[in-house]
Amino acid sequence: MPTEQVNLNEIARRLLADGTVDVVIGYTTGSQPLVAVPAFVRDPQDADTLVFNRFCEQNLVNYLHRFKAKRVAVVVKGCDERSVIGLIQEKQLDRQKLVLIGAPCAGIVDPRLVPEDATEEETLGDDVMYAGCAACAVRNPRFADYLIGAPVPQPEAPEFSDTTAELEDVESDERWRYFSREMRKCILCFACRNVCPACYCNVCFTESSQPKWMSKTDDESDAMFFHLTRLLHLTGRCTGCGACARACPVNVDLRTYNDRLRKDVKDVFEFEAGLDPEARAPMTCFRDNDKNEFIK
Amino acid sequence: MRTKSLSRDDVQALADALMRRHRVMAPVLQDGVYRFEWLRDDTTLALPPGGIPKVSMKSALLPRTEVLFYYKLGKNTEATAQPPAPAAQVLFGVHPCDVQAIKVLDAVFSAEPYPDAPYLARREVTTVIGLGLPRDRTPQTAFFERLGIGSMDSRDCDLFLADLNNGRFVLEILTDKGEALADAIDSLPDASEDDLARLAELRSDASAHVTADIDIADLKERLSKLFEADMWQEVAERCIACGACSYLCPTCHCFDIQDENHGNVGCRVRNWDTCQFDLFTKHASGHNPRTNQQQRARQRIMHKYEYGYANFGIPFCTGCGRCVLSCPMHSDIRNVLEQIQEQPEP
Repeated sequence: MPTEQVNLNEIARRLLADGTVDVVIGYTTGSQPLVAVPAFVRDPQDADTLVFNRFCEQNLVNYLHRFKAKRVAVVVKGCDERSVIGLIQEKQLDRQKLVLIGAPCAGIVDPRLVPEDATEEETLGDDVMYAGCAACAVRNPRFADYLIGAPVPQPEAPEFSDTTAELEDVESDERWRYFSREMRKCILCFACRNVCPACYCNVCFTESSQPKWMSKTDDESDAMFFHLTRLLHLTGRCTGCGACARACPVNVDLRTYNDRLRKDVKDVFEFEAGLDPEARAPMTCFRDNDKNEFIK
Repeated sequence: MRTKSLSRDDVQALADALMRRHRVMAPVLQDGVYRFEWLRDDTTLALPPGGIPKVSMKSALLPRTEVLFYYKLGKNTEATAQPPAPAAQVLFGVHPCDVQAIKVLDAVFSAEPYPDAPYLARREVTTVIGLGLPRDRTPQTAFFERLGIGSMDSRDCDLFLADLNNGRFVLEILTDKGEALADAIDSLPDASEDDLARLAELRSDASAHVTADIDIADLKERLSKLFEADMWQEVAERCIACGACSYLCPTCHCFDIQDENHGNVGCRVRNWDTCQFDLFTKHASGHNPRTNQQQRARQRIMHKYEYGYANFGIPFCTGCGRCVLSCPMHSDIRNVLEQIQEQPEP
């Protein structure tokens, strides 16, 4: 049965008015032009403040960890919905308490590519979207309870970052140089970790002071240690939603490294996080038909 | 006051000349982000159109990591060495709102009874070259004019480089520290009358746009009654508790002291830290007096607009807008100020 197509504001109002949910997490217009911000709507009268447009870059699934005791409706793009699937598989979310309002998404605008004087959405072409969005093959939510628009066309196979591919073809010291350069930019603000729906440890290893696993100096090895540990922890779990790369205030190229791991997991375990709700995550199961090519 | 005229090429040449005898921190453009960096032979100066690089110059005075002393562990654990004295440094192209941010750091780190020796040592050897811009170049995210700062405001600078918006610049030499850079400056031609006239015009236009409509005394008064207000719940709801706003803020100056051991030797350092992190207030006992983001978000606002003003007579915010620009959730501190104004009198 095809998912019901509805108006965002009407469905939000209805879900709140009839008591189906306690809160609708969506987007509303930001304080500056070309910006959208997360909104938490509890009163049906405020449902009209919700919007969905090409600036809705945040992955709102991240907020669901805070509302475990509540019935929640959340606006998800195709990429965000993958986070929901991942979290359900990890027993972090209860699908029964959740209403998914799916937003078909043709790509989110990368503010770094927007001309400085632009103030109107209409003036922006397709060339200003995030690189990850341009390559996205999950633009249409597949498991949502409602869709707030018609499905949009999307590329067939998922594409990984061009830089990921380029770095595979160069000598290891060149890869090391690129990695060092990116890590030197990092200021350890942990925005990448904090926006990530899959980063939900109660106490992150970076926050432990006894033992102190990690130093937080400006030596690039500290940033490397943080990012490598986080990357490994996300192996087979990162859905490639790109929220971390968008959140980074200093443009560290996180996508290249996330994509490298996603690619490895796909090659080695034939698994892509957040695509198939029935699949078992590679780090949580044993299959005797795994390729095992890394064991000689 | 001596004044010099410069072309755009002269500005880069001036930075190069300064590098002969100083460490020079200036805006560069890396991967689409303007950031203050120590200039090297292979980096090019890049003044951002709005004059406010996303990564501020704070690290020149308060490095992300600063060694306080070195030590040796053992039977007789002892401090073995001090870090070398800082070398003479120039901050090049500092927007007037960022110059006022340095004044905030000065106030905090020179306050009796505990003036901060490492900060003051760096400050002593620092020369500040301000960057003035025509007011129409003010970024949408900045609100320094509302806090009484103009985009051509040269106060508290040693030298001031004014961008005339026509490919030409005027350099004003304002202090003895500024004059001490004479060997890099003297070869420049004296400012032409045309350039000076244009500067005067742009400066008066910039001053005319200083609205100073954020009444900081009033804000402080209001905040002093809002500690328990419900509004903090709303302020914090979107916040993901990262450090992007504080780490890019040119006035946020909190740090954490840590020992970095390597075998039986090590150093005591201080690293940037922020009130937005849960660990920031965690006691050794395990108790944490700030248990939720509401309290942490409140602290950031209170420190900027209430405690800062109460203790030092200046707000700890200069309206640069970096927090507005860098927030992953696009929260806007200007909205919080509006909310404060709208709160009913208790």
